[in-house]
Amino acid sequence: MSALSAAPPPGGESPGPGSGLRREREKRGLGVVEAAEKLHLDPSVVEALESDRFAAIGPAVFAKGHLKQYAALLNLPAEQVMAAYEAVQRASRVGAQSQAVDDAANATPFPKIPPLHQLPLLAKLPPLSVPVGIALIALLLVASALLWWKPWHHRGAMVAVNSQGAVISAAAMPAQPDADAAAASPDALGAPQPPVGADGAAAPSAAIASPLAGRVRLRMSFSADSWVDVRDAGGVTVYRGKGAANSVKSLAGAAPLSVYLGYVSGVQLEINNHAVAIGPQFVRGDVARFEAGADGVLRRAPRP
Amino acid sequence: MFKRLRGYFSNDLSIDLGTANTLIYVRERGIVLNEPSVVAVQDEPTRGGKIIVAVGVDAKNMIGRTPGHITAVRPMKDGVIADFTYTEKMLQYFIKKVHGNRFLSPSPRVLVCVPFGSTQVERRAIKESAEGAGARSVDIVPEPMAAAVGAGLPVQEARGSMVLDVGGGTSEVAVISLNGIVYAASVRIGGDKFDEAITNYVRRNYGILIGEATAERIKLEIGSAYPGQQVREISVKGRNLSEGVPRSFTLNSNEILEALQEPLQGIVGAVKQALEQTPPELGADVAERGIVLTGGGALLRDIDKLLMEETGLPVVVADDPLTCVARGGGRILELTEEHGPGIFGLE
Repeated sequence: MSALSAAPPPGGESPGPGSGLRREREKRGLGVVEAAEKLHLDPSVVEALESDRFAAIGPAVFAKGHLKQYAALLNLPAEQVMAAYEAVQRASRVGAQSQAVDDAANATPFPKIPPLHQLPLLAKLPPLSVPVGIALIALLLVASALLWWKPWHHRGAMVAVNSQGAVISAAAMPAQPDADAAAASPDALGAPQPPVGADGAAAPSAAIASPLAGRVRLRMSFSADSWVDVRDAGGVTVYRGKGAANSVKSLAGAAPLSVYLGYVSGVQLEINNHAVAIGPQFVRGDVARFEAGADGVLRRAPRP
Repeated sequence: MFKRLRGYFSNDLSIDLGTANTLIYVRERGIVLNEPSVVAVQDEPTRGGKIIVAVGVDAKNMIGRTPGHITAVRPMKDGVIADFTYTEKMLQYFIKKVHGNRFLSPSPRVLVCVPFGSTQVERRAIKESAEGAGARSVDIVPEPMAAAVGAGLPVQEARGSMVLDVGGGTSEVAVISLNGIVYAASVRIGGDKFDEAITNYVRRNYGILIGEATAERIKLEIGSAYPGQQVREISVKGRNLSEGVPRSFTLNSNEILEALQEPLQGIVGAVKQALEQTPPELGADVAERGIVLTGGGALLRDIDKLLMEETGLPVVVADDPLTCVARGGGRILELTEEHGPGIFGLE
């Protein structure tokens, strides 16, 4: 057992290494001045070491260094002396911290905000996660911007059309308001119904309103009578009949819709709620034949 | 602009670009790299140039054991750059190693500690080397100042503090007060000179040639600066110069003490001269508290005792003396961020 731990300090004696050092020095018959001379120190420094007044010696580097040399002079294990010193320092640090916490609680909080990359959360992340995260966020922003930019009507309305060209709103999705269609078939609103073909038979499932993309809505305003023949992408007739003058027909079906108008001069066409001019390339005489795509663009219809 | 962006993803570094070892301190992470300043290069006959095959520990293990086409180079000599290209490559490797495998190549703010005695040309070379290695901005700080801050000396006080940093290539002694160097001197004596002295001693007294690595091992295991009560011994192997064959022999600590006398006296002389040159008030402060030893050379057994006996002043070895300069550099980085670069007069 070392001198530091052999004799516990009597009550009132400091728990640090100083008392042990003093005991050992006295045991060896060394005076303070003599010990100080051997250590090339001022006697007051030796006294400070023996009374654990390390703050009086200056920065920790000096206190530690002098303690090690004092321990070597007295043939004491430096590790034990330093362990005792650290214990004292720890105790004083804990006291200082608790005081600091009290002070901080009373003080006005102006916390220093560290730079973003030094935040504890980010600092703990794997090295690649920050740039990858930023790239992902950028990608997400671009995707959101594209979605926002895309016209809302391109997302498709869930409508079905009966043989009379009336629009039927699907229950799952609020249909775009269509006053004309509603007027044409007011009883059809609000209830999903199977679409029917021109002959009154049930239309194939392709004509059923669905939120799928690739559906197109036509709205034809007739200023004069005109024959109309509209077929969907599957070749199924969406509407075939006569559009009476001063009436409106709204149709919807899987794009592209193949449209045949008997008297094109008497028809105003809207695709997906956008007015579309029927170009001369689609017209021969008074007859127009074209395909209306989901993108609202007219294309030449293949010859039947 | 792009360097700034990359800098955002980089940590500020303090680099102790030493002759023997390079240490890197990263803020809030501590010492993250401690590797020998050695680069192994290989001749490339096809292109006519040289390529780097190893840096740091791997390269050091090759010293004295390389075939003809590979050379293990120490790009730093006496604390300054001896080979600009390899120093730059070595720094680049270390900076990348510290930052790990990042998406963006790092562009940190770097503080490099240089010997006080280095010339403007040598400092410029170090600065350019660090910039070439990808640093966003490079600050230079004298090693004794970094060592004093790293050792925990009260450099900001109006009180003299003396620090002796015994490095691999140089030993720096300085008296510091009010964040400035009052007196400093640098002698080109350090760990390398100790190794050289041991090699010469063995050759002279035993007629045996030993390598650099063996000399360093002897110094670390039984090296001593002051006669002690205990005599330690070590068995080593070297090439007998007359017979030309490897031989094993035993050395003791007293012999090594004798071998080291010359370089040790050089360091003692530098310290004594510093004390002579120090203004009396600051000298009194030093006499009261003592001299602080830092650097790898401070780990030489009883070097503090030698200096204490030679100067009559208290001498203490700092905690973890090998990393004092790098840690001090890191602290200086923090302080300059808080108080501006003028606080330590960084270049």
